Amino acid sequence: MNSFDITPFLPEVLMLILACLVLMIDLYSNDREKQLCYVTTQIGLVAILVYLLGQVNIEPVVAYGGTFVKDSLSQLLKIGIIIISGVSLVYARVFIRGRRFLRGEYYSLTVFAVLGMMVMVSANHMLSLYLGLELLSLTLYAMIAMERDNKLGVEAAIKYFVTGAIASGFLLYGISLLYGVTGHLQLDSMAKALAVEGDFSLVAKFAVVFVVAGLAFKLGLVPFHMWLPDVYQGAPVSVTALIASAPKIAGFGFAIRLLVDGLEPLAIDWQQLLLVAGIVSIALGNLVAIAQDNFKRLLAYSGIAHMGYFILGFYAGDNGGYAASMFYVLAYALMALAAFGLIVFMSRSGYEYETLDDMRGLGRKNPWYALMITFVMVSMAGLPPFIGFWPKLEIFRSLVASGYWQLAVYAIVFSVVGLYYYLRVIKVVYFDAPEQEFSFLPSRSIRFAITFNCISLLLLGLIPDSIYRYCLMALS
Amino acid sequence: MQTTLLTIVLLPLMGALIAGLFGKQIGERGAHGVTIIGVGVACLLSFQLMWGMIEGDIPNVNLTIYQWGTMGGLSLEVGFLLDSLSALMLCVVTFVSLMVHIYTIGYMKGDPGYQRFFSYISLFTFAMLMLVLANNFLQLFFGWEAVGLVSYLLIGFWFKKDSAVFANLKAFLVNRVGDFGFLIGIAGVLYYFGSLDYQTVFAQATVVAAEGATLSLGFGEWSAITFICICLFIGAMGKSAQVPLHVWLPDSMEGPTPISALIHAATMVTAGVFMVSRMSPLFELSTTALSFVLIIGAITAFFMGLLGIVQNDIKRVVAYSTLSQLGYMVAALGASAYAASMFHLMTHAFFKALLFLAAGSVIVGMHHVQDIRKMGNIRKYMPITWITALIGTLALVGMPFFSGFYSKDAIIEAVGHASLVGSDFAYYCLLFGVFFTALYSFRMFFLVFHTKERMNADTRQHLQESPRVIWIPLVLLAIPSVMIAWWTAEPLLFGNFFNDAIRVQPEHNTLAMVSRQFVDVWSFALHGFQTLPFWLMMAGLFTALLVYVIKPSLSESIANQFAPLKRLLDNHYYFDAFNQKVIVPITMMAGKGLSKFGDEKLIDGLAVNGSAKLVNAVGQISRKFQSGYLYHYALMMLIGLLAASIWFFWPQLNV
Repeated sequence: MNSFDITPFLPEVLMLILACLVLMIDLYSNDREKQLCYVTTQIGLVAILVYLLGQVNIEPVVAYGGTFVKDSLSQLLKIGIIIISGVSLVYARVFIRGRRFLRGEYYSLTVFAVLGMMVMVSANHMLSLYLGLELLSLTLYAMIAMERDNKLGVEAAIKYFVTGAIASGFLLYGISLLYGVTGHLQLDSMAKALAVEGDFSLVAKFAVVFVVAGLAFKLGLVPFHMWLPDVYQGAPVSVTALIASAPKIAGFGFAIRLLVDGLEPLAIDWQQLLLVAGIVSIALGNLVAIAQDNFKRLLAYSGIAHMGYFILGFYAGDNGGYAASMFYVLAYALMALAAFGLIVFMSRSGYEYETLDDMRGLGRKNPWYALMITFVMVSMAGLPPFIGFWPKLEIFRSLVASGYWQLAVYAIVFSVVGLYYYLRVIKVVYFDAPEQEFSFLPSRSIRFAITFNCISLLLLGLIPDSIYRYCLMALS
Repeated sequence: MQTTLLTIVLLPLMGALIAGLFGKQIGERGAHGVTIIGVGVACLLSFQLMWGMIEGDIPNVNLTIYQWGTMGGLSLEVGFLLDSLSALMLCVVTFVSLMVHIYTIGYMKGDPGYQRFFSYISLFTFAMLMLVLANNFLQLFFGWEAVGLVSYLLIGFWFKKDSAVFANLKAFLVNRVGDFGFLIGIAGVLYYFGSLDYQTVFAQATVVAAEGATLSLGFGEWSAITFICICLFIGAMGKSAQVPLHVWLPDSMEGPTPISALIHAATMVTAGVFMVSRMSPLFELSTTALSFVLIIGAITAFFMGLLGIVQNDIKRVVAYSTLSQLGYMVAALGASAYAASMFHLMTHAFFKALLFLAAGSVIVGMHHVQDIRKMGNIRKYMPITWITALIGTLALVGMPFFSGFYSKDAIIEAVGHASLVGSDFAYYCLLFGVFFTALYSFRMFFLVFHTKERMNADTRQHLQESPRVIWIPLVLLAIPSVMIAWWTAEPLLFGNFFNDAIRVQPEHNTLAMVSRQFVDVWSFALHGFQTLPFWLMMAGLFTALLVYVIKPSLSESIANQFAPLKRLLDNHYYFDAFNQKVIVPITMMAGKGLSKFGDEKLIDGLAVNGSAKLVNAVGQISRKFQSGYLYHYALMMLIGLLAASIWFFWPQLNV
């Protein structure tokens, strides 16, 4: 401990500096648009991204008294998180310009959220894990309520905050029980201690239930999903675009660290819990999504179903399954970002195209963005050659490879059910008669970002290996 | 060898693709240029192959080009089988196709679908080549359906004409009936032989026949081979327009004349004949199937020839003549005279394409008037068309020394020697068919090229010989129509040219019996002057001369005297009426019933909409749980946690 080496922690430190810098600029800037804050944020994110890209394939380093780990997995997840968050800021900038937001704080809060997610995926200790999670959650609560005169937003924030607090309680309680059983908080030591059959194995099991409940809440798995539709609908869309995408990636990191690194010996127990949660999520998400008329709620329920598929990769219980899950969550984050980005794009001051009826006849009025919506929907439905198809395939394959073919069949059947509401969106867009003129946000940057985002779904789908290769590498 | 074959097959396809996809860019000249070069090169290569095979330089080839996939032990492949049979077909198809391509430049001049037409006929050539070169049933079926598709497209080429659309639909539907049988036949082959490869199947044929596999169809036991052969032949009946599946061919004349020549006379309709010849190792094992083939062929040959007499549309006369000639070929197949059948196929391809193209030339000259009652004395205006049409007619009626004589005489003789059930009936059908062939052929010839001029003055003014691109193919086709048999009759009919491809049981070998009288082609022709067919033919010629030229009033009084017969013929034996009044309503009723009950109620109502409704209902109910109240959410979380805990610890608590 004599020489303090800052290198492993450098991206996080830089991110913190960036957040403070943005706050400072906000304070002394007279510009209503806070252009400088935005530019600083984006430059900072890109710089840290470039730094991370330079060291993807590295040997794991455990540092700072075993609280922090830096390995390929954490690097890759951080890269994903930063890219997604950066793009979401491109959407957000134009969106908040026309509304009453505290613009500078929006940017700094986003940076804090990113910092929280980065800590989560790099945690090697229960405390750092929890710290990252809370940093993320608290910033998100604030961001949801940022549009202060929007009643829905405030309501959503309260709901999220209260239920989130309960979930945090579950998680902390579970952690404290585990500490009691093992005497450790560092994840790898905890795993070692749990591997030895002790007197308190029943208590450890009990702790797993609580810990998994906390995790399930973050991911939005049934029955801890209730906040999700309300938050997705109530929050400002640009915030939803962030919540629906990057934190899912962090959630994956959280799950890997907590369950695989820390609770590996209890895999049988948490796998069962996740399996049930996954199965129910797939069914409920897909079925209820059918009954939705609100596009945002539809996407929320579809997100619940997606998380159900995603978590099945953990049930396979091997690196192939985890890699499939990682692939899934990265692809989903990209798709969710595109979907909510499109809603951002189609909004204008005081009005959003949020119900399906609002999108009637878009295909005739604006074929290009109708095509983009089609890309997103088809990709989410999991049809080749879009990116959404491949991770699903990998999940199913890992399930079949592990001998759970019934589960794969079940998941496929509900994929077909899911197809119904995705295609319904496409039907509304193309086959219903337009009722109104469409006007989009008049910004070149967002138009470019949306097109780039949607087309990447197709391009990455054509070369699925480009992502999957790294997922396998990170988890081997 | 592989490259040569691939080049032959793929050049027309390439031409079709270029002319079809880039027709606008390359223009009319580009379209006919690229397709003619493709087919021309394919034709040259085919003749080179043929020459090599005759000389013995090129051995038979059976190669697999591409394996599409395997299912269990079954291999699905694309492969080529080059032997005497396919080599002959290659030459016939590419040569006639080339002539038709050239002719089309003149015939379709100024048509808005010019490029499309060239694309189609080139595509047809590709499909036909795939069919004849196939070395397995799968590829055969591919080619079979592909030529059918192009035929459908071309009959309806002028898709704005209602009659053309009706005709192509009819052709398509009737062929479906045949293809259904064909497909069952192929399935039978797969079931009993376990393979779709020709060589494997033929090698096992005698074994399977000896095993005496039978199947019961509800009306008696059938030997497997007989069943397969008859099913395959039903396919041939559709494609080669045999009674009662012949009804589409006359209507197919709605298409442009060049394709009537290429597809509906020279090549595609002979696919059935080719297929049965190819399957000779199977058909030889079933006398029942051979009898069936023989009788169907004979009926078609005689009764369709009869119909030719009452037609007034120039193309329809030739179409019925085609039907009748196809009947001759099929009858020859039934008599195991496969070689004679293939030989007639070849000579017929030349002279019938010639007749069609000559008819087309007349039609161009007459500004698309096709009624022979409005023609007459065209010889004066179109001498080249006249002379080539005369050659075609003489070849068709079987005048000695013309190519048609050799093939037709061989067929009649062979059928005369056959000893199958119904062979006597078939023999007389074919024999008297000759009389009617001569009658309708010369009736048309006289009415078009001789007798009084009956066209209107305006047409007459513009009547002149067709341009060079039209008459050159006529002349090029006229040459083989006269002479091709002089060199080919001996090796093809009585020699051993086909020995590698066609298998004939010694006891069926009718051609061998015919060959006993054969010395050389000249004496064979001279002998022809003394035979009954020759005199029947002359009788037909003079009847036509008498009734239509010397004393035209006679035809009307004959028609009046035989009014019921005339009515029967005018209505084409009521085949069309029967189909329209009986078959179509029954099918429509069945289809509507199935669609109403089976599709709308059962599949849509119960399976599709039913499950969708169920899913929807579940969705509607589950959304009620999302009440919006915060305490519900918290409660839900607690219930979830509690349920998980209980599920985990229930076993422990009980212990």
